[in-house]
Amino acid sequence: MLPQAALQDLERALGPRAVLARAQDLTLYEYDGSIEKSKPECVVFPRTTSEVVAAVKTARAYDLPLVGRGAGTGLSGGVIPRAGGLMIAFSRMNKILEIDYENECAVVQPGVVNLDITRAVQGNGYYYAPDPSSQKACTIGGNVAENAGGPHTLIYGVTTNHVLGIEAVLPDGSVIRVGGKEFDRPGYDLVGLLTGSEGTMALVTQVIVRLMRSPEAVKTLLAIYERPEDAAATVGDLTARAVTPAAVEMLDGVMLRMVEEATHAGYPLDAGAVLLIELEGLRETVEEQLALVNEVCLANRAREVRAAQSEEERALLWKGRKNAFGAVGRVSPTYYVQDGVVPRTRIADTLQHIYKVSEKYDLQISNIFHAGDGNMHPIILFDPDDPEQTARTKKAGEEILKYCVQAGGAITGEHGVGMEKNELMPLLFTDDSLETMERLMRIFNPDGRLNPGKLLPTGKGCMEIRLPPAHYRSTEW
Amino acid sequence: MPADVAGAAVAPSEIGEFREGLAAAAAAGRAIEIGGAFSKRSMGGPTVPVDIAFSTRNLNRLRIYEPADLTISVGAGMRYKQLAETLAANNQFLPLDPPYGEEATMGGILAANAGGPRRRRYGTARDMLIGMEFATLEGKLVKSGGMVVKNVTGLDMGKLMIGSFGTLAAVVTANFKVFPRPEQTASLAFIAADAGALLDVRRSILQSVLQPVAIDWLNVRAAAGVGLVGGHALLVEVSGSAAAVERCRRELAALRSPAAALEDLDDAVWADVREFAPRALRICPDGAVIRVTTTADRIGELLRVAEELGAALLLRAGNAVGYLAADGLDAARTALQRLRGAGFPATVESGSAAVRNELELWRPLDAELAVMRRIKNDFDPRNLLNRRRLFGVL
Ligand SMILES: Cc1cc2nc3c(=O)[nH]c(=O)nc-3n(C[C@H](O)[C@H](O)[C@H](O)COP(=O)(O)OP(=O)(O)OC[C@H]3O[C@@H](n4cnc5c(N)ncnc54)[C@H](O)[C@@H]3O)c2cc1C
Repeated sequence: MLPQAALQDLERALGPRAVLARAQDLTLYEYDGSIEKSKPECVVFPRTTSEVVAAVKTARAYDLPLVGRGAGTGLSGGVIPRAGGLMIAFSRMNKILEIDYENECAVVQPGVVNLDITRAVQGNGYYYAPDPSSQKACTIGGNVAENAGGPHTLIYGVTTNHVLGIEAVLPDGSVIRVGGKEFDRPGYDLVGLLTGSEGTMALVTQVIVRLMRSPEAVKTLLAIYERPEDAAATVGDLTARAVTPAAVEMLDGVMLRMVEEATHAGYPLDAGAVLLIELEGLRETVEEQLALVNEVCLANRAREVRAAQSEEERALLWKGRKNAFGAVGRVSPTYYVQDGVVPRTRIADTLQHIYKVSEKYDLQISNIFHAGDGNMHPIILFDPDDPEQTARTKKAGEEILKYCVQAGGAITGEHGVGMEKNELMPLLFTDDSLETMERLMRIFNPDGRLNPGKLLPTGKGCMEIRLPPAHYRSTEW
Repeated sequence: MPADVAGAAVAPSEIGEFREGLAAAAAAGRAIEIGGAFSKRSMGGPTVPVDIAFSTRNLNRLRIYEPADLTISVGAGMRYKQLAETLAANNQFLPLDPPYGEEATMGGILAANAGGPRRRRYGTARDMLIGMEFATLEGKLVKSGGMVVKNVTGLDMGKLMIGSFGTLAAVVTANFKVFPRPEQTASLAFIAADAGALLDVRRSILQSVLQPVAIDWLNVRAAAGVGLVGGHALLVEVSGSAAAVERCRRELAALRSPAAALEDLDDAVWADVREFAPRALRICPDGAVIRVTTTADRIGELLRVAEELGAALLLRAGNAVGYLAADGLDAARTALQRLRGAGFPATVESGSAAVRNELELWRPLDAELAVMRRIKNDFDPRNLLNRRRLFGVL
């Protein structure tokens, strides 16, 4: 229970309208995009860094657990207050503080929605490169915490490659600024360490992001296949032919049909898989690559390759991709999205394995994913009211992740470990590695107050699921 | 330790042996230096006497290379040159272009965060490293990341090791994402006596859709050092298909003016640019190279300061990272004072022993330094490892 005195302190520091503590108001904050749930005891909405500091100090004074919240679109339970306590929601810290074209960067508050940065600068020919599919809703603070990726992170990298500086409040209430507008500053790369730390080390209150020059030309293709294996083989062949598309997204047959029914993007209903490939750069480069990509797709038995002829056609093709989760939601209100990642040459066999798991556990699994970087997103449909099916779903998910690890990959490519996969960390890391991570975390978060129970195994039992190295890669990695 | 550290260093060829040796030395409280080829001993900080040195140079195996995955895993002791040759055989490359590229090992390059001209397009080591293993003083073998190009599983500890100058742990393996080599490249230089005219060219290029791979500025003195005469030089590398390169050339040529001449360059010029700091120290062994990490809006001002100081300046003009060569201890002291006085973050990146012993090499911000100290203290509480190598501070 939240002490009354704590509530009063928070109301005094942030104003009564910035504090929620009634049970009915808190239900909105008990979940994210994952399948877990747990309520905070209080949610506050600071507007400034000093209000964040005040909230953090209150949490300390009353010994409350703390968690930061962006838009709650996370898919690994990162934002779920599994120990209750105080939630700091950044939705009111949503200002773009500065756009600095000369230095190709912007200074933003953590609650700024990802897409709003690009919207603010695109008129001048710039954009913010990392584009999670949730970019209309998710926040930069959440992106930094998760080191978010997206369809277009193939050429220019993910969030960590685009963050120059961070201001953050530590769990002891102190404020640190790391990095800055300058590149290549000497010293330990604290910006790199904090990015992707899943809100377990610091609360991010300001971010300096890089802006990039928008490409001159963009072309989008839809390649249609009878068999998912052929689509997967195309990805490897593109690499072999030295083509680096801006995005290579794959949807399998199951997914295609769901998406098409919901969005009418023009995806074929009878195909086994499609690749959505985007090329960008100079006009000349794009034209040449277009021809090459066409050739590679056909050589891999694509039944048809369509190039979007207009901006409308392009937007329609992407609409199908970007609204895919909504489309799944129409079929099954609850689904479990996974995020394993494999070397690109292992996509085909990983998909085959996913289909086997689907049969074995008698669960419908559809796939829509960032094929270009091997980041699989099997989506398992299930009914949460059926405990037996829910248990099967979790098992199926685990089996898929273990396969990814054995294929030389990892259990999460962009969604984060959170409270969903933390007990699976020993699949990839030894006790020595996990302990080193934990010690680094403790340097920032010594009493574990900030976002407890995330990222690292919570303790007992985690060693039992360690896998024997079945593949040569996993003996190395 | 004798003066010839590289020769005297213990250099196991197995990770297990390396890790055990390191841990045993630490347990015995011995002061330790770790290095690869020890090519960068003039960088980073004063060299202090140690009891034992370890070299990763024999941890030099190619571990995994799957060209179609565009990834590679190597022992930290592999030389950059060998890595480059391995990749080149498959028409791929790792665009780090570090100084001391002939001898440097991958571990040393990561520890010093060494990079080069193509950072404009490809970034630095932090943008290419996808996984790492390091050995700690406690005898732990710690892994971060892995062999996939996108991965958020666990804390990104590899980042912490980049630029740490071996003050935390010993990098023993490193995994990188690599890139297909572009079909063609072309190198051009704009030369102008008037920096203002060249600043306009710089701005036009960076605001255009051409987006060159490299864009480096050599002030008058630095340009002369690579054989370019007539003023400041803005070196540009473009790459891509034949048609794309042709288009870039054409549009770059249109930026030429009476004040800014245009020259075609041999691609070999980049080797000279890359070796700016080592060459400066060869020519002037008593001198120093100061890294100025500033912002693009202050480039003009930095150029003026360099001119006043009469110093050669190489500037990664796309990212506003400058390297200023000072001819001796006094010149280095004056340059630091002048730069810091004008509010430029300036760090002595390399220099003579006297420079590294006598100057305040780095001035970190207090809050940042406090956190860095806590990290150092956790990895190396007795301060045994590469003592003071991080610019004399850590
Ligand atoms: C339909 C859909 C598609 C998606 N597509 C992608 C995709 O393509 N790529 C991708 O990477 N992800 C994707 N995601 C996942 C999600 O959108 C990202 O993880 C995103 O970065 C989360 O941002 P958020 O603002 O919603 O954060 P939240 O869910 O609110 O929080 C996520 C984590 O960040 C922490 N956090 C939030 N703000 C701060 C702060 N200011 N300081 C410190 N910690 C903070 C939280 O504590 C939590 O641990 C998708 C999600 C959905 C629902």
